[in-house]
Amino acid sequence: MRAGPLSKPEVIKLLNAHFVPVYAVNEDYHGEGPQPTEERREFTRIYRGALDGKLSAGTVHVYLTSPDGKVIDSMHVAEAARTEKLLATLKRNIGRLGVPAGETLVKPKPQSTPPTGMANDAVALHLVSRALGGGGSWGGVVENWVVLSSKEWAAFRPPVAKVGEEWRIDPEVSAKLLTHFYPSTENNDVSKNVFDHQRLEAKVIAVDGEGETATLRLSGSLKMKHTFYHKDDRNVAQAEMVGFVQLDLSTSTIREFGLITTEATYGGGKFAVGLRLVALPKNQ
Amino acid sequence: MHSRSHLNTVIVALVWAISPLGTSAETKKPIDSDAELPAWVSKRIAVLQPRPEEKRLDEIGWADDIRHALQLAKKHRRPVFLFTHDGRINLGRC
Repeated sequence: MRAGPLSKPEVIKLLNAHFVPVYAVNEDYHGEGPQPTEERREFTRIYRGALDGKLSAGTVHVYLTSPDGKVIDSMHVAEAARTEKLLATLKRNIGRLGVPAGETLVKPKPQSTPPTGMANDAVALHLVSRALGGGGSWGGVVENWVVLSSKEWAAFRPPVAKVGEEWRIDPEVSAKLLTHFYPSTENNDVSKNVFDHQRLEAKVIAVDGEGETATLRLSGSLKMKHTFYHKDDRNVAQAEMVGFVQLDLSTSTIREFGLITTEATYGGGKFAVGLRLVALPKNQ
Repeated sequence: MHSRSHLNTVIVALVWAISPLGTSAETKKPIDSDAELPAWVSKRIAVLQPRPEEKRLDEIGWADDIRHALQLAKKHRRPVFLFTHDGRINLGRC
């Protein structure tokens, strides 16, 4: 949907001018998901409303409600992902309800944003994974946000601030970063990933001032089982990578962080991952 | 031989020119120079970032949640478009 109809100008125009668009992540509405009871109640009401109205219903679905919240139409994602079918449904309901074109009700804004509520001494890293052809994935580009606590990023502080000093990054910390090193797949439950091996090593390559700042070279590799769907298969992500860290030794903070794959494969295709530090507002 | 070599050079140049990634997104030989490493890595990470046409989802005025959407719908007499899914559409991981 994201790379399909929800990227098409005509669909975007109709949604903004005639509808109130909203998306809901199923995981957030079940079990220990963060959505509150009142929000879950509406989620369930719409699902049941579709069933009661003899409309299609499912977990990956489009639902249209009337201005009063009654479910009036629905589409399975396989149908909704076809732009012409989605457009036809949107236009049919605009006509049926007689909805005039108007202004976009919610100001559009970036949907991929850094996590909120981070501890003051935590750092946020932004990951981009891009398919480079050869198949094996959905293609395109995907993202992740990874937050490291001060205890975790301390793994990048050199035991001794001396050029040539080398050490292995705490495997738990490197695993937290590298578990996202796979291209776009249906399965995004990283708790199911299984490492054959993963390793990230650091070496001090420069110390500036009077030991105030240090630059590290990172190098690493991984081999990780990651199934494409939520069922077992033989897909494995493999990658080699290189990167750097610039540390402020006087304040024990990370100034810059960059890590990029130099070679990465999955399911017969190639991909590339880049991971970098994102500066956040002080109040984050 | 010369013309074939020239043709190959032209093809490589064209691929570089028309591909937003060029070949910089994947190189089997990481840079040796320590001094140039940060710039080398940063440049390649920048090349990988989503392009505007890959972020059109951001051009849609999404409500915060279902209740917010229903409030706006009632107030402005508009229908709600709700997309439910597994994963994270905002990250492309879905």
